[in-house]
Amino acid sequence: MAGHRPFPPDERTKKMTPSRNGLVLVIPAIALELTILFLPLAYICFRSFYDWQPAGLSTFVGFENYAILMQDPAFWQVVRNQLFYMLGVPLWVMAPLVVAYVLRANVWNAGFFRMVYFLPAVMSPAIVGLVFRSLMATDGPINAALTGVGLGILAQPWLTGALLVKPVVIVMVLWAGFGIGVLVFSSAFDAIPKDILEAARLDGARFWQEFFLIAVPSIKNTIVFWTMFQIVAIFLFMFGWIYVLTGGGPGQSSTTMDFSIYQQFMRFGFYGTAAAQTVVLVLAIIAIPIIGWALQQAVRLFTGRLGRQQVRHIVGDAP
Amino acid sequence: MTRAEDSISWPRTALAGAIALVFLVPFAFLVSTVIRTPADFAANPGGLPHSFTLSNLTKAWSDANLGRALVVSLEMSVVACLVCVAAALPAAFWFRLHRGKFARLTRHVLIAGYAVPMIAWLIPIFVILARSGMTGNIAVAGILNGVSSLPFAIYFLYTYLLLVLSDEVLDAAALDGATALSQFWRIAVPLSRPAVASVVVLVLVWTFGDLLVAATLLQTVPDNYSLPLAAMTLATRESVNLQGQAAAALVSLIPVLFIFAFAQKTLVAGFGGNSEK
Repeated sequence: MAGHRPFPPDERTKKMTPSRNGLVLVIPAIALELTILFLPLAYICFRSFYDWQPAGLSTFVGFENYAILMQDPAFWQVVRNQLFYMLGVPLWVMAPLVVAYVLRANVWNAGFFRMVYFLPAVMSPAIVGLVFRSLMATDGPINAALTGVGLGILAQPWLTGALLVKPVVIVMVLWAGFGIGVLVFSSAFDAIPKDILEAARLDGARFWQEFFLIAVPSIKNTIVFWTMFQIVAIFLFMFGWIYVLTGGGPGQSSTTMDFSIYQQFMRFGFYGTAAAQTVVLVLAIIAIPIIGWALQQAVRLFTGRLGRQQVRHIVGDAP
Repeated sequence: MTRAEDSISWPRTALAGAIALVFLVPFAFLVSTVIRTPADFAANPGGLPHSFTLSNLTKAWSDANLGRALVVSLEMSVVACLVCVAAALPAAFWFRLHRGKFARLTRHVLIAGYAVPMIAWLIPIFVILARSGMTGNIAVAGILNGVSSLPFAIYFLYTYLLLVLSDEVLDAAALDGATALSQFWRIAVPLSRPAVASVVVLVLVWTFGDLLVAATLLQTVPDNYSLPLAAMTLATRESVNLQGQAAAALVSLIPVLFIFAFAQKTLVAGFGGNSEK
């Protein structure tokens, strides 16, 4: 093998020593993700074209499962629910963003407050759901307390009214994720050079001006990241909440995609259409980064061009 | 509020306190619902407690077999942490060593695993396991939980190694003739201890919180119910009243409150750390 190498020896050792060996380090991770995440995913895509009977004979049906799905009003109800939950995204982003900014300075024991907000993040959505299910029951403590202080009109069937249930879920998710959001945004704000904000303040920028024209543009990557994370969570991690809090009801009015797929598989045994619905969910998730990219372009267009001019106007020509 | 970095603004502090109440009041409500006698609760469910009893708690504990469920959740979490860290740390280090096309592609694919919906891989796995009679197995549920956190763990540890491990150190080690494997043991493992701690705590919290894997795989074996599954099953029984539900929830919160109390800093580093780009 000692023949004609195209590069000098020292170059060769440099290239040889760290590489090649050590592949064994990455193999377990590849093997685990392949067998547990990706191959089953491929298998479910494959089975979505079958009348899938796990216990018996599955026959190839082409796109029939998808056709059935498209004609199923329950499926469209779930899609509508999913879009409705997306209305929560601005709230889930803005609330922690504004609060993190307010807590950024001059607050007594801000760290303690951040910890309190963070508390729900470590708790199981299923258990927190259980807490609120008992508190918000029609005959539960919250309604009783409202009636007790003479606000009986405000007592509501929080989780069993078709109109109210989705907004209630949105607020619950805000409650649970708020603390992480505050942490994430706080550490992003900490990274903004202090003199930029100070210069703006000396120039008499008001709170909201400072917030929208300087603070928000400075951490826009974090904001986009968090927004994407929230949108993905709405598609991926709602199961525990819905299962416990509402059971998808009343009717189908609070069902999310993952919960509906779970039910079709585990309760009704519609394996073929459930597989098709899973593929639709995966496609939706693939579409999210693309939408996110478009969003980022839009943000860049607005805050970047328009904002930068006004910032310059306020802080002068800081580099 | 015009200047002065260090002066305390009381309006801001009051606002922070008001928001804190939104997080604390539900727990106060929960505790007050649980510790009252049924008669006291029935008389005025929304008011302050006028009685004290632990019977709701002990009843929920024994009815849902929560002691056993706690052990199951612990076992599952330990397996999940072991699997996740044992696979993620070497992989993250390998990605730190190698920046070629193949390594980059592999890294992106492994991290993209995060976006594969759990339900999409769990059902085929369930079908296979059911065929071979392996549902209800705690270790299997633990492994699945560990792998579901693997994409995040690889991303997190890789980002950490990028920060703490300079090319100079790696080059020096390579010149000394250390193989990738010995570099891993001698450099990566000791260096990444804080990041591994964060991953362990996060996986612990997530596995303790999981309902989907448990409801899919462990449903058929009541003796192997995890904490959320046991609490949930008790709470959805027709015969159980609101106080029983609340008690099951309260008991199930205690383990993560312990984790929270002892590993606060590590947890925060885990959650906040991934934001720094």
